[in-house]
Amino acid sequence: MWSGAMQFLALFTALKAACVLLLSSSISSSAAANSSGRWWGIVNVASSTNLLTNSKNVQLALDPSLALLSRRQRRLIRQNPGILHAIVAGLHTAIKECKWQFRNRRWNCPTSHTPTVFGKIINRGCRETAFVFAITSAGVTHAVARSCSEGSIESCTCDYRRRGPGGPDWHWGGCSDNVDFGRMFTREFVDSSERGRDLRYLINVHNNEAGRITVSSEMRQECKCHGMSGSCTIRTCWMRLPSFRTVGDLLKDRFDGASRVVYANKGSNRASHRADPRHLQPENPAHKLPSAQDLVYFEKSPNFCSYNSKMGTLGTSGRTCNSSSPALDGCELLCCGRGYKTRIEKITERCHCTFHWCCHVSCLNCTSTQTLHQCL
Amino acid sequence: MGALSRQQFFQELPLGCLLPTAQQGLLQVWQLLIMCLACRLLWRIGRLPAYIKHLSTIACGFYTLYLFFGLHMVWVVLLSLLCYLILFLCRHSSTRGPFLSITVLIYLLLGELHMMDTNSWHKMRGSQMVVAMKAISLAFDLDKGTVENVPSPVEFMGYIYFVGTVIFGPWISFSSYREAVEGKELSVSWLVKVASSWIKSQLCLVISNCVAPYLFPYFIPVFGDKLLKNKKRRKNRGFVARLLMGYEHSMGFHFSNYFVSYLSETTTTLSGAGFTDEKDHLKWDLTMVNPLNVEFPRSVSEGVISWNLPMSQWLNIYVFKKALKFGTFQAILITYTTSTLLHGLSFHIAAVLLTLAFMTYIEYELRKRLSVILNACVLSKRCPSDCKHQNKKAFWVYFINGAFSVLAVLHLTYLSSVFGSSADDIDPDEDGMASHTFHKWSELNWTSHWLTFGLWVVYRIIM
Repeated sequence: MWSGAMQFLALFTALKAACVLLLSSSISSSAAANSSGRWWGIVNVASSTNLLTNSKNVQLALDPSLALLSRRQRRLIRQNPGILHAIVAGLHTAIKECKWQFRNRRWNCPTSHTPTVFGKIINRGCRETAFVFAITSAGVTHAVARSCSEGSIESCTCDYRRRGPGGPDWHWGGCSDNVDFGRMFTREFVDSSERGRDLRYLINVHNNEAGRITVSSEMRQECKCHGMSGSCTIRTCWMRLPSFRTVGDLLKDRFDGASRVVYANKGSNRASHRADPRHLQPENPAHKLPSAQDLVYFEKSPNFCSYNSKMGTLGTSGRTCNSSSPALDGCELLCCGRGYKTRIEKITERCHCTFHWCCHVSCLNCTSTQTLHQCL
Repeated sequence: MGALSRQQFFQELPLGCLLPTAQQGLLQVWQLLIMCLACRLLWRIGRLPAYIKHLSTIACGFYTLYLFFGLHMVWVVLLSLLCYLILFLCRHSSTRGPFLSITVLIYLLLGELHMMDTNSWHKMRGSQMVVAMKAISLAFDLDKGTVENVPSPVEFMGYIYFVGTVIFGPWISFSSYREAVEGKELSVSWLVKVASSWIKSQLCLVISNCVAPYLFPYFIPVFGDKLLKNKKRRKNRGFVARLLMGYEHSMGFHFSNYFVSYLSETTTTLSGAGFTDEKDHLKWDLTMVNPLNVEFPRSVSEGVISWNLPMSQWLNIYVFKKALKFGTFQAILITYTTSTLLHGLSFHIAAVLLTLAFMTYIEYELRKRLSVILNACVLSKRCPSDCKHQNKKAFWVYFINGAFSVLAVLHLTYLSSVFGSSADDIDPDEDGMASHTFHKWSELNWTSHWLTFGLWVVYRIIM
C-alpha cells in the first residue's frame, strides 16, 4: 500500500507538498502517543491535491489520504463509495464553524496544514479539546446525512423508514436527510480512531457523541398536505437537518457550560463498555452527572496568551482587537494586558453603486480610513 | 432556533426544499401517470369491445385507489355500489336525482360521524366527492333524458373509476366519459397539453412548499430583516404583519390547490378525456383552475368559481339552477350547503363556505344596485361587450372595481388562512378544528366578517 502510494504520488510533480505531508505523518504517527483525531489530516490532503473531486476513480483518490486513516476507517470508506467526499466536506464546514464561533476569543481555533490539523490542543483534555471533537463529529454526521439524501453515497439513500405519523400503512413517506446513517457511520468512523480505556478515551468518545446528538436532535419534520380542498391525499414530508450554524451555536453553548469530570473508578473496569457515561463523574460531587449532550473535559484550559510550543498555543500577539469592547474580544482581555498598537489603514472600496436598466451597475471608489488595533 | 439570514436561506433552499419536494411530487404520482397512459394506449390499440375498455379502466382505477388509500378504498367502492343500487331500483321513477342525492348525503354524513376514523376518512374525501358528484349528475341527466337509459353496471363503474379522475378529480360528465372511451387519436396537441399541465403542477407544488411559507421574510422583504430576527415576535406584531402572515398561509393553500388541479388536468388528459369537439378537430382544453382569477379576482364570486371550475360548473347545473325556484338567496345557501356536505362536514370548511355564501350574495346584490344607480359596469361579473351601461371606461369605474378587487383579495386571504399550511398543526378532531378556526380569525380581528356586515348595511341604505 505504501509503495503504491509513493509511486503514484511520484507521478505528480505538483504533489510535493503532499509527499512531505505523508512523510511527516509517518514520523508523527510513531512519535505521537495516541492516534486521537489523526483522521482529521485528510482535510489537508484533500485540499492540497484535487484528487478527491474525481469520485469515479475511488481507489486512485483514496491512496494519499489512506495513510492517515486506520485500517478500519479505510475499510469503511471502501465499503461506502462516495463517502470520503462527504467526510472531507463535513470537516471543512466544522473547521469553518469552529473558527467562526471562536473568532473573538483568545483561542480562535487555529488550524495548520500539518496532519495534526488542530495542533497539540487535541492531546490535552480541556474545553477547547472537547469542542473540537464535538464539532468535527457533528460536521461529519451532518455532511454524511445530507449526502445520503442527495444520493451521492452509494450505500445509503433517502431514509424511507421515517414515514408520516400514520404508521406502517402510511403510504407516502418523504425523503428525509438520512441522519441515522450519518450517526451510525460517524460513530464507526470517528470513534475508531480513539483507543484505550482511559479517561481521555472516555471523554473524547463522549464529546464525539454529544456532537452527533446535537445534529440529530435538531432535526425537524416539515409536512404539507395536498388534495382537493385541503384533504390529505398527498402528503409531502421531509426531515430537515439544521443549518450547521445552529449546530455550532448549540455546541458553543455547551462549551460554555461544559462540565469537568473525573474517572469514576468503581469496582472492576474489566467489563467496562465503550463510552459508558457512567464511568465519568463530575469532579465536584455536588454537580449533576453530565448528560449525553453535554461536553466534558478534565483539565483546565491554558490561558492561550503567549506562544508555548510545549502546550501548542500560538498566543494572541498580532491579533486584531476591538478597543471599545469590554468583552472577550476587547483589547484589554484579548491582549492579556500587554497593550496594543494602533494602525490607520486606508481602504478603497466600491460605493454608491447604481443599477442602470438594463443591465449594468456603476460604482464610485470611496476611500475610507479604518483604525486597526493589534495586540502586542 | 435562530432564523437564517437571507443569503443562507437562498443557499439552503435548492437542496433543502426544492429538490426533495420535486422528487416527492414525482415519486408519489408516477404510478398513477403510468396507469393513465397504459389505459389510454390500451383504448387506442385495435377495436376492443366496449366492455373490455370499461373493465380495463376499472382495473386501473382500483389499482390506483389501492395505491393511494390501501384497504380504505372499500368505502369508495361501497359508495359506488350503493349509487348503482339506487339507480337500478329507481329505474322507472323520474326523481332519481333528488333521491340519489339524499342517499349519498346520508352515506357521507354517516361516514363522517360513525363509520371510521376521521383521519383516513378525510384522506379519501376528494375521491368520495368525485364519486358522489358523478353519480348525482348521472341521476339528474337520466331524469332529464340527456342520458337515455341506465348504463350497464360495467359502464357505470367504468365512469366512476375512470382512472384519470378517480384520485384527484375533476368531475366529468357521463357523456364526456363516453366520448373518451372511443379513444381519440394521440396527437401533438394532446402531448403538449399533458406536458404543460404537468410542468405547471410541479411549479405550483414547489411554490406551495418552498416559496409561499417564506414569502415575506425572504422573498419580499417588506419589513427588512426585522421579521427574521425572532419568530416569536412575529406573533405579537401588528395587524398588518398578521395579515401578511395570513397571506403567506393562504398562498401556500392556494398553490397547493393549483398543484392538485393541474395534476388532475394532467391525469385526465393523459387518460384521454377532457376535450371539446370542434368540427372535425379536437381541442384538449380541460381547465380546472384559473390562478390569475383567484389571485387577482374581480369579485369574491369570481375567485370562488375559478377555484375549481368543474365543481363550480357541477354546482351550477345540478344544484343552483334547480334551487333557483326557491329564490336567489336560498339557492345560494343551498348551493354552498351542498358543497359543504360534499366536502365532508369539517367545521372549518363549513364555516368558510357559509361565510362565502353571505359574502358573495351581499357583494352581488350591492354591485348590482350600484351598477343601476351609477349606470356603470361594476357588476360582480364582467360586463358583456354589448351591455347597456353608459359608463364603461371612466376612471371611477376602474376605481370601484379595483376597490372591490382589493376587498376580494382581503376576503380570500382571510378565509383561506384557516387552512393551515402545515399538516402537523391541524388537529383532526372537531373541537380542535373549531378552535383553530376561531383562533385564526380572531387573530385577524374578524375583519372580513365586519366588512361584509358593513357592506350589507350600505346595501340596505341605498336599496
